[in-house]
Amino acid sequence: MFRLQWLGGALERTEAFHAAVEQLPINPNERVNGIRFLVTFLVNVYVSPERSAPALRVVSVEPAATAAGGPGARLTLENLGTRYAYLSQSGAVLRVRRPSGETERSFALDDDEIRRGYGDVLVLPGARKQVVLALPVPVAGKTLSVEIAGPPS
Amino acid sequence: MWSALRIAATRFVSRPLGSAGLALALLLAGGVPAEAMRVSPVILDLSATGRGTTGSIRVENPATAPIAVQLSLTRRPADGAAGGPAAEPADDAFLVFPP
Repeated sequence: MFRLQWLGGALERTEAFHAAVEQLPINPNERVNGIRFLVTFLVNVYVSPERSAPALRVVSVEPAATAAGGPGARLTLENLGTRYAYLSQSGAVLRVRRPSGETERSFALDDDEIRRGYGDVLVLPGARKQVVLALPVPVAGKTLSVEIAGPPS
Repeated sequence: MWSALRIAATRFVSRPLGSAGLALALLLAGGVPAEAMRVSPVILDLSATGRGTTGSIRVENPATAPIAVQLSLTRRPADGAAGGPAAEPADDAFLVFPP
Protein backbone atom coordinates (compact mmCIF):
# COMPACT_ATOMS: atom_id res chain seq x y z
CA MET A 1 0.00 0.00 0.00
CA PHE A 2 1.30 3.43 -0.96
CA ARG A 3 -0.13 6.54 0.65
CA LEU A 4 0.01 9.82 -1.23
CA GLN A 5 -0.48 13.28 0.19
CA TRP A 6 -0.76 16.38 -1.97
CA LEU A 7 1.76 19.03 -0.92
CA GLY A 8 1.13 21.52 -3.70
CA GLY A 9 -1.42 23.66 -1.86
CA ALA A 10 -4.56 25.28 -3.25
CA LEU A 11 -5.31 25.05 -6.96
CA GLU A 12 -7.55 27.01 -9.31
CA ARG A 13 -8.39 23.92 -11.36
CA THR A 14 -7.66 20.20 -11.63
CA GLU A 15 -4.11 19.10 -12.18
CA ALA A 16 -3.49 15.60 -13.54
CA PHE A 17 -0.68 13.21 -12.73
CA HIS A 18 0.37 9.65 -13.41
CA ALA A 19 1.48 7.49 -10.52
CA ALA A 20 3.61 4.75 -12.09
CA VAL A 21 3.83 1.59 -10.01
CA GLU A 22 6.74 -0.41 -11.38
CA GLN A 23 7.48 -4.01 -10.57
CA LEU A 24 11.23 -4.15 -10.59
CA PRO A 25 13.05 -7.13 -12.08
CA ILE A 26 14.85 -7.83 -8.83
CA ASN A 27 14.77 -11.18 -7.07
CA PRO A 28 17.77 -11.85 -4.86
CA ASN A 29 16.80 -15.52 -4.49
CA GLU A 30 16.95 -16.23 -8.19
CA ARG A 31 19.99 -16.89 -10.36
CA VAL A 32 18.91 -16.89 -13.97
CA ASN A 33 20.09 -15.29 -17.13
CA GLY A 34 17.40 -14.57 -19.66
CA ILE A 35 14.36 -12.42 -20.24
CA ARG A 36 13.21 -10.31 -17.33
CA PHE A 37 9.97 -8.38 -17.38
CA LEU A 38 9.37 -4.90 -16.09
CA VAL A 39 5.67 -4.44 -15.37
CA THR A 40 4.35 -0.90 -14.91
CA PHE A 41 0.83 0.18 -13.97
CA LEU A 42 -0.29 3.77 -14.38
CA VAL A 43 -2.79 5.24 -11.94
CA ASN A 44 -4.49 8.48 -12.98
CA VAL A 45 -4.24 10.93 -10.11
CA TYR A 46 -6.35 14.09 -10.19
CA VAL A 47 -5.98 16.88 -7.68
CA SER A 48 -8.89 19.33 -7.76
CA PRO A 49 -10.07 22.37 -5.82
CA GLU A 50 -12.67 21.46 -3.21
CA ARG A 51 -15.54 23.16 -5.02
CA SER A 52 -14.81 22.46 -8.65
CA ALA A 53 -16.95 21.33 -11.56
CA PRO A 54 -16.45 20.47 -15.21
CA ALA A 55 -18.12 22.44 -17.99
CA LEU A 56 -17.73 20.44 -21.16
CA ARG A 57 -18.66 22.22 -24.37
CA VAL A 58 -18.87 20.90 -27.92
CA VAL A 59 -17.01 23.34 -30.13
CA SER A 60 -17.83 21.53 -33.37
CA VAL A 61 -19.07 18.23 -34.76
CA GLU A 62 -18.89 17.03 -38.33
CA PRO A 63 -19.05 13.78 -40.34
CA ALA A 64 -15.67 12.07 -40.64
CA ALA A 65 -14.15 8.71 -41.49
CA THR A 66 -12.67 6.65 -38.70
CA ALA A 67 -9.13 5.30 -38.92
CA ALA A 68 -10.64 2.05 -40.20
CA GLY A 69 -12.55 3.92 -42.90
CA GLY A 70 -15.98 3.54 -41.32
CA PRO A 71 -18.55 6.26 -40.63
CA GLY A 72 -17.82 8.55 -37.74
CA ALA A 73 -18.17 11.96 -36.18
CA ARG A 74 -15.30 14.30 -35.43
CA LEU A 75 -15.95 16.15 -32.19
CA THR A 76 -13.96 19.06 -30.87
CA LEU A 77 -14.48 19.39 -27.14
CA GLU A 78 -13.49 22.08 -24.69
CA ASN A 79 -13.64 22.08 -20.91
CA LEU A 80 -14.37 25.55 -19.55
CA GLY A 81 -14.77 24.31 -15.99
CA THR A 82 -12.40 23.88 -13.09
CA ARG A 83 -12.56 20.08 -12.87
CA TYR A 84 -11.65 17.35 -15.39
CA ALA A 85 -14.46 16.04 -17.59
CA TYR A 86 -15.15 12.65 -19.15
CA LEU A 87 -17.25 12.64 -22.32
CA SER A 88 -19.07 9.50 -21.17
CA GLN A 89 -20.24 11.29 -18.02
CA SER A 90 -21.40 14.46 -19.75
CA GLY A 91 -24.87 13.27 -20.72
CA ALA A 92 -24.10 14.20 -24.32
CA VAL A 93 -26.45 13.07 -27.09
CA LEU A 94 -25.39 13.00 -30.74
CA ARG A 95 -28.12 13.44 -33.36
CA VAL A 96 -27.89 12.50 -37.02
CA ARG A 97 -30.23 14.62 -39.16
CA ARG A 98 -31.32 14.14 -42.74
CA PRO A 99 -30.98 17.07 -45.14
CA SER A 100 -34.67 17.78 -44.46
CA GLY A 101 -33.79 18.47 -40.82
CA GLU A 102 -35.59 15.41 -39.51
CA THR A 103 -33.71 13.43 -36.86
CA GLU A 104 -32.70 10.02 -38.20
CA ARG A 105 -30.91 8.58 -35.18
CA SER A 106 -29.82 9.69 -31.72
CA PHE A 107 -26.96 8.23 -29.72
CA ALA A 108 -26.23 8.77 -26.07
CA LEU A 109 -22.47 9.04 -25.89
CA ASP A 110 -22.36 6.95 -22.74
CA ASP A 111 -23.96 4.10 -24.70
CA ASP A 112 -21.80 0.96 -24.69
CA GLU A 113 -22.05 0.54 -28.46
CA ILE A 114 -20.70 4.04 -29.03
CA ARG A 115 -18.13 3.89 -26.26
CA ARG A 116 -16.57 0.79 -27.80
CA GLY A 117 -15.47 3.08 -30.60
CA TYR A 118 -13.65 5.58 -28.41
CA GLY A 119 -13.25 4.17 -24.90
CA ASP A 120 -13.61 7.51 -23.22
CA VAL A 121 -12.34 11.01 -23.64
CA LEU A 122 -10.81 12.99 -20.81
CA VAL A 123 -10.69 16.77 -21.17
CA LEU A 124 -8.71 18.65 -18.57
CA PRO A 125 -9.83 22.13 -17.52
CA GLY A 126 -8.85 24.75 -20.06
CA ALA A 127 -7.99 22.09 -22.64
CA ARG A 128 -9.48 21.41 -26.04
CA LYS A 129 -9.51 17.93 -27.55
CA GLN A 130 -10.57 16.38 -30.83
CA VAL A 131 -11.85 12.82 -31.18
CA VAL A 132 -13.42 10.73 -33.94
CA LEU A 133 -16.28 8.53 -32.76
CA ALA A 134 -17.23 5.48 -34.78
CA LEU A 135 -20.95 5.43 -35.61
CA PRO A 136 -23.09 2.46 -36.69
CA VAL A 137 -24.88 4.42 -39.44
CA PRO A 138 -23.63 6.24 -42.56
CA VAL A 139 -23.40 9.98 -41.98
CA ALA A 140 -22.05 11.34 -45.25
CA GLY A 141 -24.18 14.25 -46.41
CA LYS A 142 -26.04 14.44 -43.11
CA THR A 143 -25.99 17.02 -40.37
CA LEU A 144 -24.64 16.13 -36.94
CA SER A 145 -25.23 17.89 -33.67
CA VAL A 146 -24.34 17.17 -30.07
CA GLU A 147 -26.33 18.44 -27.10
CA ILE A 148 -25.11 18.30 -23.57
CA ALA A 149 -28.26 18.42 -21.48
CA GLY A 150 -28.58 18.99 -17.77
CA PRO A 151 -25.71 19.75 -15.46
CA PRO A 152 -22.30 19.46 -17.10
CA SER A 153 -20.29 16.31 -16.46
CA MET B 1 2.80 -20.59 -13.55
CA TRP B 2 4.76 -17.34 -13.72
CA SER B 3 7.89 -19.11 -12.50
CA ALA B 4 7.38 -22.00 -14.91
CA LEU B 5 6.94 -19.66 -17.84
CA ARG B 6 9.90 -17.59 -16.83
CA ILE B 7 12.10 -20.67 -16.55
CA ALA B 8 10.90 -21.92 -19.92
CA ALA B 9 11.63 -18.56 -21.50
CA THR B 10 15.03 -18.44 -19.83
CA ARG B 11 15.97 -21.90 -21.06
CA PHE B 12 15.11 -21.00 -24.60
CA VAL B 13 17.19 -17.90 -24.41
CA SER B 14 20.22 -19.62 -22.89
CA ARG B 15 20.60 -21.82 -25.98
CA PRO B 16 21.42 -20.60 -29.45
CA LEU B 17 18.07 -19.42 -30.74
CA GLY B 18 16.48 -19.51 -34.11
CA SER B 19 13.61 -17.18 -34.85
CA ALA B 20 11.14 -19.98 -34.03
CA GLY B 21 12.71 -20.44 -30.60
CA LEU B 22 12.58 -16.75 -29.90
CA ALA B 23 8.97 -16.58 -31.06
CA LEU B 24 8.08 -19.46 -28.75
CA ALA B 25 9.88 -17.80 -25.85
CA LEU B 26 7.99 -14.58 -26.47
CA LEU B 27 4.74 -16.53 -26.81
CA LEU B 28 5.39 -18.09 -23.43
CA ALA B 29 6.19 -14.68 -22.07
CA GLY B 30 2.76 -13.51 -23.20
CA GLY B 31 1.20 -15.42 -20.31
CA VAL B 32 3.26 -13.65 -17.71
CA PRO B 33 1.20 -10.52 -17.02
CA ALA B 34 -1.69 -12.63 -15.68
CA GLU B 35 0.54 -13.45 -12.73
CA ALA B 36 1.93 -9.97 -12.33
CA MET B 37 1.05 -7.61 -9.51
CA ARG B 38 -2.39 -6.02 -9.25
CA VAL B 39 -2.85 -2.32 -8.67
CA SER B 40 -5.99 -0.46 -7.61
CA PRO B 41 -7.66 1.96 -8.01
CA VAL B 42 -7.00 3.09 -11.59
CA ILE B 43 -8.21 6.62 -10.81
CA LEU B 44 -7.38 8.46 -7.62
CA ASP B 45 -9.23 11.69 -6.86
CA LEU B 46 -7.65 14.06 -4.34
CA SER B 47 -8.58 17.49 -3.06
CA ALA B 48 -6.02 20.25 -3.16
CA THR B 49 -7.10 21.39 0.31
CA GLY B 50 -9.10 20.05 3.23
CA ARG B 51 -9.50 16.44 4.30
CA GLY B 52 -9.20 14.86 0.86
CA THR B 53 -5.54 15.60 0.25
CA THR B 54 -4.52 12.01 1.02
CA GLY B 55 -5.21 8.80 -0.88
CA SER B 56 -3.95 5.24 -1.19
CA ILE B 57 -2.81 2.96 -3.98
CA ARG B 58 -3.05 -0.73 -3.22
CA VAL B 59 -0.55 -3.16 -4.71
CA GLU B 60 -1.22 -6.92 -4.49
CA ASN B 61 1.23 -9.67 -5.28
CA PRO B 62 -0.62 -12.86 -6.29
CA ALA B 63 2.61 -14.86 -6.54
CA THR B 64 4.31 -16.59 -3.62
CA ALA B 65 7.68 -14.95 -4.19
CA PRO B 66 8.23 -11.42 -2.94
CA ILE B 67 8.44 -8.63 -5.50
CA ALA B 68 10.08 -5.22 -5.46
CA VAL B 69 8.00 -2.23 -6.51
CA GLN B 70 8.58 1.49 -6.75
CA LEU B 71 6.24 4.42 -7.29
CA SER B 72 7.02 7.57 -9.22
CA LEU B 73 4.84 10.54 -10.13
CA THR B 74 4.75 12.61 -13.29
CA ARG B 75 2.61 15.57 -14.29
CA ARG B 76 0.37 14.87 -17.29
CA PRO B 77 0.48 17.32 -20.18
CA ALA B 78 -2.45 19.74 -20.35
CA ASP B 79 -4.11 18.05 -23.32
CA GLY B 80 -3.76 14.62 -21.71
CA ALA B 81 -2.82 13.13 -25.06
CA ALA B 82 -0.29 10.40 -25.67
CA GLY B 83 2.68 11.43 -27.75
CA GLY B 84 2.47 15.02 -26.52
CA PRO B 85 5.08 16.89 -24.54
CA ALA B 86 7.24 14.76 -22.28
CA ALA B 87 5.83 14.26 -18.80
CA GLU B 88 7.56 16.22 -16.04
CA PRO B 89 8.56 14.56 -12.77
CA ALA B 90 6.18 15.55 -9.97
CA ASP B 91 7.56 13.65 -7.00
CA ASP B 92 8.04 16.92 -5.11
CA ALA B 93 4.32 17.70 -5.28
CA PHE B 94 3.42 14.67 -3.15
CA LEU B 95 4.52 13.05 0.06
CA VAL B 96 4.67 9.32 -0.66
CA PHE B 97 4.78 6.67 2.06
CA PRO B 98 6.67 4.41 2.08
CA PRO B 99 9.23 6.65 0.41
